[in-house]
Amino acid sequence: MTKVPGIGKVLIANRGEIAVRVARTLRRLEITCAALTHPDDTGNPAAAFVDEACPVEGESAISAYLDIDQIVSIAKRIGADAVHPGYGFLAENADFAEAVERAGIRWVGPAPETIRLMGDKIESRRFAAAHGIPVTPAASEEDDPASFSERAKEIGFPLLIKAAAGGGGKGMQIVRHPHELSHAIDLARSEAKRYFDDDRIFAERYLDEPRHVEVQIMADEHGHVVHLGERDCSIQRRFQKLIEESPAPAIEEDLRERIRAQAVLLARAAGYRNAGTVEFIVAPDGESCFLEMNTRLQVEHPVTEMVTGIDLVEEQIRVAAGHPLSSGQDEIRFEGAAIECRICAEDPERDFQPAVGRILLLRPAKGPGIRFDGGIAEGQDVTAAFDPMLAKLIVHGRDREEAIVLARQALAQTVILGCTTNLAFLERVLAHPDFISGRVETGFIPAHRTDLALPPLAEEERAALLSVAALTDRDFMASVEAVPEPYASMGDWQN
Amino acid sequence: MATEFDLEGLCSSVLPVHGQDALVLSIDGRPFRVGLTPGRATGEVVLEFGEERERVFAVQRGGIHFIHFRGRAHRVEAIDALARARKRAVAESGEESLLAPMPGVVVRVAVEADEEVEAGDLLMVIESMKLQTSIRAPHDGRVAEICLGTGASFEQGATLVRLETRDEDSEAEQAKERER
Amino acid sequence: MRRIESRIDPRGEEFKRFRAANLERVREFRRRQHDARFERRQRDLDRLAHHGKTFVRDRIKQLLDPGTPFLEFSSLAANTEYDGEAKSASVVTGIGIVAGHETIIRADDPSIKGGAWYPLTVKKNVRCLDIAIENRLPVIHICDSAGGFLPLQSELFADRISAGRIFRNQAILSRMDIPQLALVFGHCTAGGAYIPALSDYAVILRGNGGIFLGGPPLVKAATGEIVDADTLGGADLHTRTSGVADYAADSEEEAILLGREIVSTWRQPGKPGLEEDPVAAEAPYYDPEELYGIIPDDIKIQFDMREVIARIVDGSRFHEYQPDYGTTLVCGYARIWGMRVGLIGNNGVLFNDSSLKGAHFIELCNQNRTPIVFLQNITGFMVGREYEARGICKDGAKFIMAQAGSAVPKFTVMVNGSFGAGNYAMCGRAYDGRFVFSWPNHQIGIMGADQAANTLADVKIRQRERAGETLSEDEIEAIRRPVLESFARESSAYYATSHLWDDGIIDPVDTRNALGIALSAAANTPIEEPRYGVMRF
Repeated sequence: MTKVPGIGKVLIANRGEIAVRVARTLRRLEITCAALTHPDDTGNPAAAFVDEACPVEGESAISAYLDIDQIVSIAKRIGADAVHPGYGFLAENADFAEAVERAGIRWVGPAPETIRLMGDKIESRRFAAAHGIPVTPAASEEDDPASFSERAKEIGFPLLIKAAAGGGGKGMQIVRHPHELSHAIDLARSEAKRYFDDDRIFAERYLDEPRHVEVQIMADEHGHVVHLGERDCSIQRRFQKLIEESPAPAIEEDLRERIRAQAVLLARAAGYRNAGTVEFIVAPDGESCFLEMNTRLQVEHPVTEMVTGIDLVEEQIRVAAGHPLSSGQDEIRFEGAAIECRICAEDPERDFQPAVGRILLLRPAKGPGIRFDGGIAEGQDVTAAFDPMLAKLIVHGRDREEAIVLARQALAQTVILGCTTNLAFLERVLAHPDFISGRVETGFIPAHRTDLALPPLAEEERAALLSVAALTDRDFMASVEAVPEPYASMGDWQN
Repeated sequence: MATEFDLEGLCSSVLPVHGQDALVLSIDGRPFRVGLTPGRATGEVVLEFGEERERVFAVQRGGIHFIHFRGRAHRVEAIDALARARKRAVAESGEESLLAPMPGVVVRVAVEADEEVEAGDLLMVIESMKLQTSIRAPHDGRVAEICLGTGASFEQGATLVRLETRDEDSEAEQAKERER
Repeated sequence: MRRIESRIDPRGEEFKRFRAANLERVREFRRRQHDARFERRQRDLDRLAHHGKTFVRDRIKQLLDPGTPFLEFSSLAANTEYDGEAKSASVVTGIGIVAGHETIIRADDPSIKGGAWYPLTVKKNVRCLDIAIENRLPVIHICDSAGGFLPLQSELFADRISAGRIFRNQAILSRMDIPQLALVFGHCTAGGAYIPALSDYAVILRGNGGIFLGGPPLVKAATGEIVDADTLGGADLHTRTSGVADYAADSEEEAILLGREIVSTWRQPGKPGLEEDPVAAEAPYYDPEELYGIIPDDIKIQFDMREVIARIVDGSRFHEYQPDYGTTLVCGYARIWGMRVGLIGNNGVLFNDSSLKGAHFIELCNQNRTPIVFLQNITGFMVGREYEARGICKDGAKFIMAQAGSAVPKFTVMVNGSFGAGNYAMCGRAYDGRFVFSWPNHQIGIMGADQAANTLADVKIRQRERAGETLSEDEIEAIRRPVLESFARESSAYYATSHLWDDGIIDPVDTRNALGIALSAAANTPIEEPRYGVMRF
């Protein structure tokens, strides 16, 4: 008997960092864990971590990890009681959820209809608006394709063109001037088609200096819905989150309460089950608008776990097994502040282009209040095939100030060699006075580009680094040592 | 022996200064007394630099040194001067003819004139003594001329393909040197 | 071993006077050396630049391991000949470290008459290859020579130590399994073509490099064929078709880096002449700079050779052999750069006892396989009835017999004078010492200039007297002066080094390093069993 009655084995339909993260909880719950592997995916640390590595076939690892039929049949074959999708890949795929449930296996997530509803950005906005939650002025192309561009203009500039099926910043275009509109529409449509195989797009008002604040909710099949506080995810680059924290800094308490309540309201209205996240845009004047709801575990869920002390994966498994939530709203306590930094294989000096290499040395920061959720192992090749996120560093401090100091120390202590990472860049963001004072917004990184640029090395530092390189360079040292006596002792003497 | 190292896009000369009591490196002409001892952990070394001692993590792969120093990771590349000299020579000449290594017949032409190619790209397949040989681009460049068509026979040393080299690298290098 | 107790007073008047005189001598030497090394006609430098050629000394610098020494030989060769045109005899030779290997570098200097070979160029080339053979040193040739200097062809072609000897020596080296590398940076025409062809490895530069038995003009004259140099003997021809050279390079830098890589593949054959466990070197206790205050400003003034030894050997420590016998010859053991040596230095004219002491000490060094350093300051053997009667000739013969038959490596430093048979006994050039170095104050001759002038004047005076004439003071002076002048000129260190009687003039403070490299190089060759001729007792 495991610690969650009814669940003896879970297939994690994912790889890398999240697969390891989920498996860690499963192991603690004494649940057998299985995860997917593919021959091309040599750097997947989950394969060695889980109890059962299940090979999937496919031309590429990515296509294999997206192969619904195959994964469901694997789940059946190995006798999984539940499938945990992690995030990314099939996590928000209603068809997959449906196929899993049809196979008589529990789906760790909301019902397929809920996924479908929230997965459609246009439908979910309508749903939220219908329940009295403010949404940004928007126009959908499919309402009347002919008038789309006119209606978009009416929203006012700047505006955002988004994919209806979108997520992760893909297929998103900011339009600041009317003459850019048609080009942006074409671009967004083609990207939407490419990434989501769904070219429906919509336009939405773009708030300048907006903050991205989201509320974690948890619901069970017994009608309980709780929120686990909010997270600020404003520090982004290329529309993708980089640093997340909980609680959201420097916001008015009534705003905090309002969005928390709206998130619970929305979940309840949707008959939501399992973990979900309701995302809001917060304008500088404190106004908030519903953005979208994510029907899965978020990358940044650990900050919530740190401040609440609740293991979200454990809650997910319990709920999926049909158990009620372990805590009611009143029992949930928020303590201190947590910050998560996404450590990515990318070069901040080159517009965050993904970097490739091999992890030659990995020494995560350790210590009280530090959590390192890694998806990498030494010797692993970092290729362009997968998401550039290598690991997440999460810290928990008594207050935000302490968390920032701890995060900066932990980032400096974290050694990842062999591939360019954004570790030092993250540290510079945390050290920025505007970040420290909580003046964050989604345009933070481009706005502070100069401040955040790589500071030049001091001459001594440069010399020290070159010394290390030379002294550890096999050829260099062999050449130095090859000089025989008495020549070596004479130096560059000449008669 | 590598005597030049690239750090953050700038090349520095690092030369041993012999005849001293301790190891001295001349870095861009400035002498530094240095030493290195193994640290306790894998990949850890202790750098002695003048009067200071610092714990550093350093690993290398394929001539590239990855160094974690004062809380930051750095990448230092040992310059292969011979390879660079060869590349420069090709870049300066701006053109290179690929010659037939043996007499034979052109089986297939894989590129067209004016096409941009990368080092290693297949340009042509030739056959000689019942063995097929792939002619590949030795470096990045543009196909200036395909000298022989499919089915054409040739003697040893005949020009098969002429490549025009892109010398962005050397230009970038020169620009860097000028900056310095 | 105990330290030599120096008796020099560095604050004394004499020391200061000697020091001033020697510093002036060294300045003059450095001035001439700088001129030979670097002063070139603008026209020649322009031509070099036009062909994209690097100056010979920069080529060598690039070739050597960074931060390592270079012992150059005979930097003032040919300085008194050919109107001083063939600076350093148009070729740079020396020992240095390339990719960790102790090697000889022989580099033509195309900034002088296109690197043409003068007779003394040939002599210097042969000497450098002799050094390679005797000390088993690999050779790197940087070839860039227009060929033999035709106006003087009769002096450089046909004799035993002529151009042919260069190629003979190359063949001998190869036979001894000692590798040679040629970097062809210019034309190698006629005989010169054999340098890369006889080298075990040859890299040839595209464009500037060319190897042919007959250059385009000669080909046209001989057969009427009109052909350009590159087609006739360029890099592509030789590396793709003829196989005369092994690698083509597009730049001197590339060729040099490639050359260094080739050398790095060579074995390190070890040093049979050295002890298994090397002793760490120790700097002399006394400052070698004090040598300037020790060597007198007048060749007639005597000085103690122990003071010189104290400024060359490790820790200034010296075990003196027979300190109370034959005291005009100082013999004893010491270390130089950690290597064992026996030292033999002159402290006056050679008497019977000092000659016997020298012969005995040489045999001891041979028994012990200890290389010998001769420090010459010798006017000769003692003359006179008493010494002839005691058999100074046979005692001197024993010294020469022991020295000539010695099997251990020998090194000679011309510290000051080298006159008469003393030059022979103290391992003059004729005795195949591994290296001979001279100080700028050095003088050499069959006898001193004064004695020679007086002797010649006496002969003339006696001839005239027999004819019944008497000579006035002025007439005697008129006979003496030209003899004195010609002797003075021909006995100077510059004349000696110009004719390759030594391996170069060195600054006295460089003696320790020069000997260190010489000893290290000599240790590459195993020491044979010593065997002497018949000693006359």
